[in-house]
Amino acid sequence: MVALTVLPALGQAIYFKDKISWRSSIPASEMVKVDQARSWGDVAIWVDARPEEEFTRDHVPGAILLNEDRWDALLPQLLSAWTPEKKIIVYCSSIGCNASREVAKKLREKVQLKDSAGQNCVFVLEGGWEGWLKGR
Amino acid sequence: MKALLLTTTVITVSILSATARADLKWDKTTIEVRTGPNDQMAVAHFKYQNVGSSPVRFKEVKPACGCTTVQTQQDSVPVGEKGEITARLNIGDRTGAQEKTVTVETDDPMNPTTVLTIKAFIPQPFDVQPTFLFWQGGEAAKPKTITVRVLKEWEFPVRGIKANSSSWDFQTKIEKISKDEFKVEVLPEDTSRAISGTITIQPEDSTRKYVANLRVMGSGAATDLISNPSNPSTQGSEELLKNPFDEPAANSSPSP
Repeated sequence: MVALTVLPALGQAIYFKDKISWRSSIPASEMVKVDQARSWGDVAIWVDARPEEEFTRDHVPGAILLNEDRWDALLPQLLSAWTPEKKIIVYCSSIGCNASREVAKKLREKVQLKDSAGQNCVFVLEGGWEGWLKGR
Repeated sequence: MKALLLTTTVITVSILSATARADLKWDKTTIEVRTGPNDQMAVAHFKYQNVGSSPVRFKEVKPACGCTTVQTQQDSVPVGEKGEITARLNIGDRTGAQEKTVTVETDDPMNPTTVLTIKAFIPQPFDVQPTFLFWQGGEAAKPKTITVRVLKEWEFPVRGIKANSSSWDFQTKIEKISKDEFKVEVLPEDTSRAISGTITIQPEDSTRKYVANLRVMGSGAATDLISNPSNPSTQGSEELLKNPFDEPAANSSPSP
């Protein structure tokens, strides 16, 4: 019975070992709800991962634009505002968008932003911009 | 008699509307694209044919991401007609696996929504980490390291890398760890005041440049100190390390 359960899982693990992962997965601990994010107040830096046109139309007050269209050009503005005491909240359009996850992942893995205790300081906003509008 | 005529008409109309069915058949709803190192766009052509017996009208064709644009050839697809929807993903500074969707809504009541998926793999020749080094104000002025790895998808040998600092406030030293790995050590001149800069890392024989941001934190944010790496006026030191397999390494800090 155990073998019947384990064997397919092993097979799947071997099959998908070198396969490309197309979606950025993110643990629940790295997501943040609108209410909690708001409660962080000045400690929070809001990062808008949507395209520039959408950011220009409207965005969370004080948010910094950062997307993968012009990553290198946009990143310095965020880094100049960041200190290890700050928490970064990344959002994109809605619950279905993936841009905020990709930007958050890049900030964690490539830029390697961490708080002063060496813990994660980059969070993805649940519900994105639409969620923020609803909670406004 | 009238009732019979009405019933017959209703039945006939019902049968006709049931048989005159729209049916848009897609060749593929998911397309994988592998882009070249200099490509600006990943392009996918989603082909379709109306194999039904009535025209199909596109109500909306909407990409999920602003980074993707779509182009339709026609608003309405006559019976038997073929066509395609072209989706273009702007690569920008994206790397690795990217998945973007386009939602197509039609007036076909049986199949009103189709999700098209473009999966693009954008090869990244080098992995540079971290792309940000910082020192707290007053922290000991010790060097910190950026690692540059040549990834397996890059098929060409890398003889060496260049590290071009935007500011004399940061000294750099390159060390070759193996034929696929380099380390760039960065040392700030002073950690008692807020300074910032960038280092542009460029493997030899490659046009790709990687920017790492550097910052010594003072009492406040150093917003206006971030220099533009593309601005030649901010360019400072440069050093070059050749592959020791080809010739001896020239491994030195930049001289002011």
